[in-house]
Amino acid sequence: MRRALAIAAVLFWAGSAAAEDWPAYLDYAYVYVSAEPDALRARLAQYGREAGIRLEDYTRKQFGPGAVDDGSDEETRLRRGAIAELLLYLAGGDPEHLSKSVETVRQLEDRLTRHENRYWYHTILAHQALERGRRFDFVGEMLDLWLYVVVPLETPYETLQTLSLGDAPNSGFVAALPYIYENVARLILLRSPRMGVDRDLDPLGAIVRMLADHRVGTHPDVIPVALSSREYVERIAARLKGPESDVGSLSFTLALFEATKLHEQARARLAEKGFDAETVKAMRVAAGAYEKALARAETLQGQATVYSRVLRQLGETYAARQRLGVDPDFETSFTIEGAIDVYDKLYRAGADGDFASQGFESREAYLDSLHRLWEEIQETSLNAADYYLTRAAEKPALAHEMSRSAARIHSRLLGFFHRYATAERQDAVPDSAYFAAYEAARGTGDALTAYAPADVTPEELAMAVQRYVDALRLFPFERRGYAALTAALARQGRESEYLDLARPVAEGVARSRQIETWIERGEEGARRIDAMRRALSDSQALVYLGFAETASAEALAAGLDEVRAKRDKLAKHLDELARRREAIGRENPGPAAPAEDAASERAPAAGATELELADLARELADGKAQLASLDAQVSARTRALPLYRATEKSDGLADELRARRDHPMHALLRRMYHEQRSLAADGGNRS
Amino acid sequence: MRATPICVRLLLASLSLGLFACISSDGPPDQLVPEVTAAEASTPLAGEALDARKRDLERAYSDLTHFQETLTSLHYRKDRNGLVQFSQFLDAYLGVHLDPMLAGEWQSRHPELSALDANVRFAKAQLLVQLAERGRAADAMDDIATRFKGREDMLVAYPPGKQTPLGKALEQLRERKWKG
Repeated sequence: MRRALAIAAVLFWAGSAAAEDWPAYLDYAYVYVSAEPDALRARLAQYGREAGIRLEDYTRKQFGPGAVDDGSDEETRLRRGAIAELLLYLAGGDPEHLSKSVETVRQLEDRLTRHENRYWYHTILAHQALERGRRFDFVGEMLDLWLYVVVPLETPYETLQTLSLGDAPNSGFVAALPYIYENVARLILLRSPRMGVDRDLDPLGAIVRMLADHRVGTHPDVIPVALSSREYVERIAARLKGPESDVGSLSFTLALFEATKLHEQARARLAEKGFDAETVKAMRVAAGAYEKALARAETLQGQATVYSRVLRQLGETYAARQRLGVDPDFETSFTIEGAIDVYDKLYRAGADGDFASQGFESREAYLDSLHRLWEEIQETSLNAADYYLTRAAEKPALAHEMSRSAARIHSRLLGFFHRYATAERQDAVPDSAYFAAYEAARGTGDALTAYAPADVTPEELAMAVQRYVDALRLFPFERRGYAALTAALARQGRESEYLDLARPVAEGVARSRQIETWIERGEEGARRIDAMRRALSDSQALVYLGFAETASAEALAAGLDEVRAKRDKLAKHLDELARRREAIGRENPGPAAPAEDAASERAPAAGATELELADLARELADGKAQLASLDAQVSARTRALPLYRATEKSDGLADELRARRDHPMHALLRRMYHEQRSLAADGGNRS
Repeated sequence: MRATPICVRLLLASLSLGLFACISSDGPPDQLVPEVTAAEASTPLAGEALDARKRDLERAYSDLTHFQETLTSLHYRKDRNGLVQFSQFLDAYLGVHLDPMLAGEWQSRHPELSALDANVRFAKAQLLVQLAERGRAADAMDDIATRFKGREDMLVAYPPGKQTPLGKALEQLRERKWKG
């Protein structure tokens, strides 16, 4: 028997062939009954060739009216007949064959003590339930199959295995147990969703859990692991209890799994073919599957999971639109507002600490779900805003509308951030949210200054300035942010306010204990932010950051050389002036008492000398003042320029944080933000 | 000789008729040898039987935890149809499979199996509590108390995922029964 099983297994799983006749093929049909229709058709055709008669003909001849007696008992004949009709149904899809199979197998109802009969009885009725869309019947048949076939076979199977009696001729249907596991798994996890029976399956969650628990795929000598559904079963079982479950609902898990699969297919097609009609269709199908999953979600945990996934799809779509410059006709019922609404509900529901009632195993799982949804909301928002900004740049005619759309999306994200990034609620906010808020603040400013046409209102410009300041407070290590602020101020003729706005930011950095600790501990990026901190501690460097962004450090260094040369030239000139004054002084030593007759002759000469001396004195005084100024410039530039040049080290930091939502520095931004809020609150209390 | 009372004669007559009826039936009775009890049938005789029972208990325990998870999910989702279907399944599972396996006395005393046996019994009792089968749950708990009398310090896996002395675990389980 075992050898026969092994042969049959090879026949099905490995695709080789052997000469057998139909009774044997039908008796071992549990080996290949779960094959995909195409594979099953091919297999049955091959068996037909080997047996010299097609299954259809064999069935008609052997089990139809006026059937030929082949010597088998009635029970066997009925069972084989039912199996044959089932195979024809599964291979061809004709429900008529299924009806015949059901009609035949029902004649075995008084002989169900035989496990083989019982297995086929419940299997065939389960297929009938799927064909008719009767989900409760399907669940009932599968539970009965487990209870009356699987459970009784498990102990004998293990005993036979232990005693190496698997090959014993009398081991009978017991040896089929690994195939039964496989078939049950495929019927529940693959066949039922395909047949549209995709809800009210939750009682079968128990069977899926048991299948994953050392059952499916654990008999590699019978079914190679690679050919079993073990990995799929384990993934589903893990999802049933993981952070993306809906309190263990199988219906939800299958719906989400299907949607995820369709999403991945659509994503792959998008990457390969771009936004062609088939891609858009695949995206719609995936979005529809997510809608179905959302409908299956009973808990906020489940809803949050669906939104996290579907926002990823939305974000990818925006990114692809931006990248490909195509605007396909693709809409879904999912929105960022909807996701924020789910987030709000999830937060409120968990605020009282009763995570279990929301379907979460622990507070960690609850927070993990909140964070995941948050990050998808922020990523999708930023992607959508970027898309609108790109459109604004590409199509000036649309710049007005597109830039405002981007600003609105950023503002919504900032509002969301502002509501939760408080001392009481900050646990609900992931570390990466603080940099994302920086991006949104900066993005708002850019949308209204760099991308909007000239019709920006003074109120919008004022808002842009404020958002640039907010951005610097959230992430002061991006030196281009300071230049962006001065540019926005320049649009309003308010350049002079730069230092008033930037200095508090710089002082905040210089005083921050969080930054100090980060640098002292040598955490990731410490040297780069230390360079930025030293620059911000110097008012001259701060001015450089605001106004010298367009000039390269080399140009600034050349400027310093010019000042030095000018200063040296001036110093030289002043030396000359001083020497000249000294020479005049020697030639005209003091005013002696002049003789009366000579006084009238010398008076003009003396007057000229005094005039020259006075000019020299004035020139020297002016020159010295100018020299002092140049000295101050040289001194300041000599000190500040290296500090400013050192800030170039921080270039690329923002890109790194943008690319890595798990970058350690996100944690620093969180601490800095709450440190500032805490200091502001203390200051407010003191005043 | 005293005359036989009519009532005694009638009784004898009926007995003889009954005997005749017995004698006159075709063939032997259905069971020549009385059916053994489940407890006797499951007594281990050799090492493999012990190993087999160990595997059975281990499998039953993990299956019961899967049932509990599923039941919790169905309760949470207020899935009435699912609860009805699954409860029927569990009822049959307990009656057809688990109870006969647990009927044996020896496994509760066997040093290699007693802890596992106790774990399965606790899991079963917990499942009955989840099913709101208070009477049966109480019976299961009483059975645990009787079987493991004097061994209240033995560690059992209750609540799930924790090791608790049997006596204390039983108290907690009884407490839970009334809380539902």
